[in-house]
Amino acid sequence: MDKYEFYKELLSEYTVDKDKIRCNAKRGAKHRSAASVYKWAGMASAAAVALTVGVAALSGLFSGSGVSVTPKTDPEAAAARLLAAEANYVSSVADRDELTGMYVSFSEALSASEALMMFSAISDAGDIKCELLYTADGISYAVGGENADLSGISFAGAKISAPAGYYKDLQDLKAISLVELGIDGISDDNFIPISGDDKATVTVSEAPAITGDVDIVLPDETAAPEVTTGDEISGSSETSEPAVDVNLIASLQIPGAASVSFINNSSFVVISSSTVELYHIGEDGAAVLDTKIYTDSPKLGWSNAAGTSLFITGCDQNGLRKKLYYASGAAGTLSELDVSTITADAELTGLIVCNGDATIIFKTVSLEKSRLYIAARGANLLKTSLAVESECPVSALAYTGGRLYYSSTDTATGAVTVNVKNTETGETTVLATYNTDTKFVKSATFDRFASVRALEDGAKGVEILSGGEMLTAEGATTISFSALNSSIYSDDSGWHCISPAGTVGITESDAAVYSQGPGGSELYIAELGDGAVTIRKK
Amino acid sequence: MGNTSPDIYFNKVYDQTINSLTRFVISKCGNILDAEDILQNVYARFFQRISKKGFADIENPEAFLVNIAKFECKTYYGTIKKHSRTDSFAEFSDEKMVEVEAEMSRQQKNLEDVLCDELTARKIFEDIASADEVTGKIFYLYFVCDMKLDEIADELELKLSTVKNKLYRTLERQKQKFGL
Repeated sequence: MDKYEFYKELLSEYTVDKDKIRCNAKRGAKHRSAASVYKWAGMASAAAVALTVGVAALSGLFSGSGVSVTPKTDPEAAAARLLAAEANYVSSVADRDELTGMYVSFSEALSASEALMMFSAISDAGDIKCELLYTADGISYAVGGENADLSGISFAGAKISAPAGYYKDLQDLKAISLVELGIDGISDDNFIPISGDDKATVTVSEAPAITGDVDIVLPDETAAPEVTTGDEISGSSETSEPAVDVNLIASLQIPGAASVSFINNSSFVVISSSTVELYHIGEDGAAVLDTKIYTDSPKLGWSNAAGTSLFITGCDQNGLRKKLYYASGAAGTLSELDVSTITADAELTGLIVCNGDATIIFKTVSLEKSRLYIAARGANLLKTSLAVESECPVSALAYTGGRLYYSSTDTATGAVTVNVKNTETGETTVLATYNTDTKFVKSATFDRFASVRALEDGAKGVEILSGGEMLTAEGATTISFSALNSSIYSDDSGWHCISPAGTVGITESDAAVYSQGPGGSELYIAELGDGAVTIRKK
Repeated sequence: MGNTSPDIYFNKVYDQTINSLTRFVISKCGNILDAEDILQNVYARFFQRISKKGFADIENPEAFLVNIAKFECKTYYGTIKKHSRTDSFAEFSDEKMVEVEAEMSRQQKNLEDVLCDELTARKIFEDIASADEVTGKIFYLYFVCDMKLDEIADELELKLSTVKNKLYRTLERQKQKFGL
């Protein structure tokens, strides 16, 4: 036997088992697609799905008949909705930012305030608007409506409006069991939250028969095929031609690598699905691993404008986001910060550092309370003090001059107030109250913010924090602060500069100097692709 | 064929198409390890279709199955995006390729023993299949489908040099690793 024969026989034997395929095909066994095997924490308990249900869900999806929302859910229907929800997300909105209607089922019954508090756990929670709350029977209540006495009612789900990109973050929340898009059959009138009991595991049948009237619609059944190349099928990777790359410093295989950031000229941090790793480029040009931290679901929580300081959050063994790590470009170090005292009964969410005085604003959220802490960071230690504690969702907006500005949402009326707390005296004052849809735009330097709210005539109005007050930006409907100086901002009419004497217009070229983004490294560039981190000389 | 049962029709079509369909799925799938699952889904759909709606209207079963396979490959992988890769190893020299080629046709007594040792054979196969997504396809198309390297390059939309490098480099590695 020569090698040709060897490999021919080997690959024929092990690539596909033709007898098994024939047998299972006639028995109706089908395999779940790779796309539907996303391990989302919220649905870990429903990961096992009967294939009969899977086929029914997929057929409903692709035939255009929509997801069947039955009056009474059960584990099989719950699993079907999971498959359809995942497929809908993947095929429809995975890369989109526009506001999307989503229907959320809670893991357990929640009060109105608990539900709204939960949504505030997503960073920039002002982008999430809870429109309806649903009881387990599918009865809906408007949030912030005229007769919105929601006290004493247990809710099992909600209809929210949020950027499509929040889908996975929402699905990751422990308090949420399923997020469904408002397409293919689900509407305000027929949505019924999935019962928490229906999350019970459905056993996998090895080779179940396809039962019931499953009508699988095949696309273009009679069209002639193109058997030859030319079709792009998702999943196949393109490979660049191997070539000698004189600028290549390192090619690191890090499974699940999601981001790579240079924190100084020679040190970079790689965040993967289960690790945070710090490397530096040594004098011999090789990448050296300095620190490797194992943590679940690490996420970049904050980076300063220059990218030289990173805060990274991670989950503990219970899947709760209670770990905090700090990467210092100045020191070239990666270390864990002890936040156990403030995460005893809550999880970390938004995290901001004020440049210059190393003040850190933490937000933790539990179902009962939302808290803002102010911490002073020094030598990897944190000295934290509780600044705000509320039973309403709160969001930090700015910190400057010892004053913490934050928004608070009244769960009963939906009204949003802007508050300022003097951290020296403890006094809190209300700066503004908004009763219409309001979003907040924060500056990267976190010392100024603006509100963009809906006006009665349907237009938008902008107010900017200036001199401790909210001042109207005349004619503005949008606003964006420069990266390095919050006194420089742009709106509909161009660039402006806020000064003690007032606000004046400036040219775009004058504003450009304040628009510098993250610095990275002056010597190297990092690229990420397919679990490989590549470092090259610039 | 009017009174042929779906079962008999299925078996006939299966025998006629499994090889060509396997080649099609291998060339289109993301990883050859997924090929069996995809093929099973394709033929399951086909069997269900002919069981429910008959097969009198199917003029070209192979074309019909290829359409299903295209659909299955797309839904199997959802919207997983393509990612570019960067390999930094140098190309195989022509001399080295000739050397490897010459070895391929040399009779080796131990190869049959290796095939009979299922554990080792499986390891060798998985070493090929998990090297990267393209290498497994190249091996299957080259050795099982008897395609030429330039045909494989066209099929997979790769450069010929890429195909050669992946094939020969893997062969050389397997020789060192498994003593082939």
